[in-house]
Amino acid sequence: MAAVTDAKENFALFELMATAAGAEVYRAHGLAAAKDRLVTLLKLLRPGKIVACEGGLLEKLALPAAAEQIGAALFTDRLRLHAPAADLGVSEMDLGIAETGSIAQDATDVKKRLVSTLPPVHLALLRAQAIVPTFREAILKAAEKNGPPPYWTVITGPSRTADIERVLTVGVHGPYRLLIVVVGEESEI
Amino acid sequence: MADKQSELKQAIKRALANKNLGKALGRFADAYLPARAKAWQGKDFFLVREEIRRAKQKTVDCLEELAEKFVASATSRGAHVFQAKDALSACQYILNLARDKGVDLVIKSKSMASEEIHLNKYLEKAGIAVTETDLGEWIIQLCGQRPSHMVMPAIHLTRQEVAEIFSREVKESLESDIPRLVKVAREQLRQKFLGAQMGVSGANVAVAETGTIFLMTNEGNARLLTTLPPIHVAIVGLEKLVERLPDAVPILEALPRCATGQQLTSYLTMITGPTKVETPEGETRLKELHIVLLDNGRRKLAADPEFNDSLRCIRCASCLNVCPVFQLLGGHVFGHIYTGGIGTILTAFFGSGQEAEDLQALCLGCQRCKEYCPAGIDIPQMILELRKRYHGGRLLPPGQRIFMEKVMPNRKLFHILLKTASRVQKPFTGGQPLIRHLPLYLKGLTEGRSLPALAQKSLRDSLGDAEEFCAGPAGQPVHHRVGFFAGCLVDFVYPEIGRAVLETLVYLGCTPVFPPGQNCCGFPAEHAGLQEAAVELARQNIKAFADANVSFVVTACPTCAVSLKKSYPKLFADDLAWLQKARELADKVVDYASFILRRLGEKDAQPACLSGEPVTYHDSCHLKRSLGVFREPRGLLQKLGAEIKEMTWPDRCCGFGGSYSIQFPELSTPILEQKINDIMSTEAKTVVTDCPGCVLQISGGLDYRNMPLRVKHTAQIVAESLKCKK
Repeated sequence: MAAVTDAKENFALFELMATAAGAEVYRAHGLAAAKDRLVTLLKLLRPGKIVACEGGLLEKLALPAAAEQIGAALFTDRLRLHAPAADLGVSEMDLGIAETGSIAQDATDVKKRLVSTLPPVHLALLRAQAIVPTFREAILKAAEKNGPPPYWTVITGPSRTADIERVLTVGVHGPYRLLIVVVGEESEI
Repeated sequence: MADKQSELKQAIKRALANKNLGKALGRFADAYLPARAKAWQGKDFFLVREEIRRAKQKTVDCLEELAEKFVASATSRGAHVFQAKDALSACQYILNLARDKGVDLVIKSKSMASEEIHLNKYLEKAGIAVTETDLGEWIIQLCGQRPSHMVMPAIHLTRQEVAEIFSREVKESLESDIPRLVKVAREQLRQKFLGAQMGVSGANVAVAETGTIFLMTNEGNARLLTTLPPIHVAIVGLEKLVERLPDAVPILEALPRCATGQQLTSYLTMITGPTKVETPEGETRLKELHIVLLDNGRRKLAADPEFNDSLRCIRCASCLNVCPVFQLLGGHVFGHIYTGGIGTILTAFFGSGQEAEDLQALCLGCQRCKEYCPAGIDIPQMILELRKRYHGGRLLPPGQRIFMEKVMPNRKLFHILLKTASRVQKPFTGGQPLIRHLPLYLKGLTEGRSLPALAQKSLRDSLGDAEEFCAGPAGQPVHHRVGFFAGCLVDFVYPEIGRAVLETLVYLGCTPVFPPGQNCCGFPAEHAGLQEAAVELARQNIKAFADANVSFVVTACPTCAVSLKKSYPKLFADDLAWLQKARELADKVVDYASFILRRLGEKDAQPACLSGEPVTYHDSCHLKRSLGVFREPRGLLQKLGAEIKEMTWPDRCCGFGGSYSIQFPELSTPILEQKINDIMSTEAKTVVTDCPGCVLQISGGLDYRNMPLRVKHTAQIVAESLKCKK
């Protein structure tokens, strides 16, 4: 019971902090709901061209079928060529951090970075169980196996700047929108 | 020397005349502290600060060992590490690499270290194009200026100016709409990201044990820069090293919270060895990761015990953001490449030393930066030390220097001169206690504030008629004998504050003793870098109070208290006999408010004559930040029945800073202006403070503006209350 409450609390804080950082958080109870959510979001975003990393949740959520449904071209290969002109990047993250509302991943595979940096919108998928309470835990967890991976990344909200007159403006070099779909059981989120 | 001084003065004048700069910095200063406080919610600043201190102390203590470890671990993970002893060798290494690989476009993310070594200029001279990708840095690059802030390089430019700069670049007339301008930058720089063959970054932290570097950005430029080009060069100052991965955590936690009031930047990247890059043709290959480990004065700094704490700096710019002088001037004047307080120290070691000599004079000594530094660096102390090394006295106007060096240590001469001055000032005072105008070159002194006249009769002269204060009745138990250290301002300008101290001590059953051998505490001389004069004055005071046989030494001037309590033992660090005596005095010194509050407690006296009078309390910098006393005076005033109406920033400096207000009246006045505004917003009728210097400054400012508030030292309020009780 305690564990369930912890998961719920973790998620509640994650959602609060991620939203405060400018991300949009959506929860999906189970895979079927997540699939629906994905289609709904794609319909709203109406991307012509999608780039994505294969595997994991993406496969389970049948992204190719969803892309086809809205008539978008989906690329999962030769991303250096396709990502600069893509309207949307989709990828799964390894960890969520409740304290800061961040998402983190081992991004040693350059594809993971190409889809989350170049397109104007990044849609991130995250399993509810992967949310850890603190930044400290996340960083130590990332390095716990064989030391730090070659490239580990933490993302907190969209790309932003306040360099002109200190006015907060999003979407400088990275995405101007970050959408996070958290997939988990009802007991978790 | 005079030329240098006037150059600095000219630069100050230009900065003050720049209204955009003033407005931008002022707005930022107002927003910074609340945003920062919010970002620290739920996180213990002091705990994190202690963790950073410990982690970085290890860096300072074991710099060679950590550097060796880093080289070994980063190399084993596939990075090339080059140890650059100075700026030139770092630039040469990067240029050679670029030439070898046929690089013609380099993109950069924000890196102070690269600015420190003037990399852009070096590469551009060799025909290699360099583009800054941080928005602020790019703006600065396009208009050929220098960054004015370590975190926000273009804070001094307006949207209209940025629109003009961008319009020139894209050859199209752009409107000054910020989101539109940001979009233009995105489009322009995206092409550079995709076309560059080399990316140059700095690093926020580097981990010796794992060979890892960390990069934090909000815009995402460091992520693109480390993802797209096939070569990544990271320039890492040696001081960025920490031993283990967990040592990096508190730094990563503190940096965004302190720098921009964020829990975390949008992007944090942890790189350990090279990764693959992909070409547009779909080929993948391992990229080249080069790490330039930069010394350029850092080893020398690590070996200097007076200054090596500054290597703990994490470049968050807190010290700039809370500095009242930086808020007026910005980094173009107050800084070279590294700006503000910490910038002054770093410039001395990483730069030529010449610039730092000018910069140190700008420090007001209010110590606010020290309070907010997440690495616990005592910046004001180091600036003072720098001043001593540069014989800062050289920068003083000659008259002032002779006065401090020759006249003040000669007590009799000093006091005769003051007595004479109190007679000749009459034409300016017209018999009034405040001087509103001075002629000619002294005019600056009365700009923005009135000056108090020297008292007709100094405290020490008036005590001549009241023997009991001078010696105390014979046969009194020693613990009741309380020495009174007046200090120059109380003695010669505000004897009424001194009288109030003496009266209240008597009321509380003490026998005040005023040793006539006491002189100036020496603080002004020490802070002007005149070490010998400070030591001589300290000797005179130590002797005067040792002979007086007292168990406490009370002073109504926090600056004197700091001098007696903190500086004297340091002044005699190498002289054991005097050190002992200095410590004995230091142990006895108590500030007025703390002493009285304690005595009131013991006697259970409950005077309540202020009957809810609304007062506002101004914290003197030395009392609050050097002595940690701010609850006591408030407790005392409340015990007396006063209702305290707090102003917005009661501990923001009033701009006095002793001789600072004489040296830089143009800076002191606008700082005072802010204080007056803070005070006026409280609707209190009385301003209370524990420092005669603050009384001078604030009452002068209020008088100049014809504001009918009274400014009182705590001692005067206590004396009034006790009288009314009688």
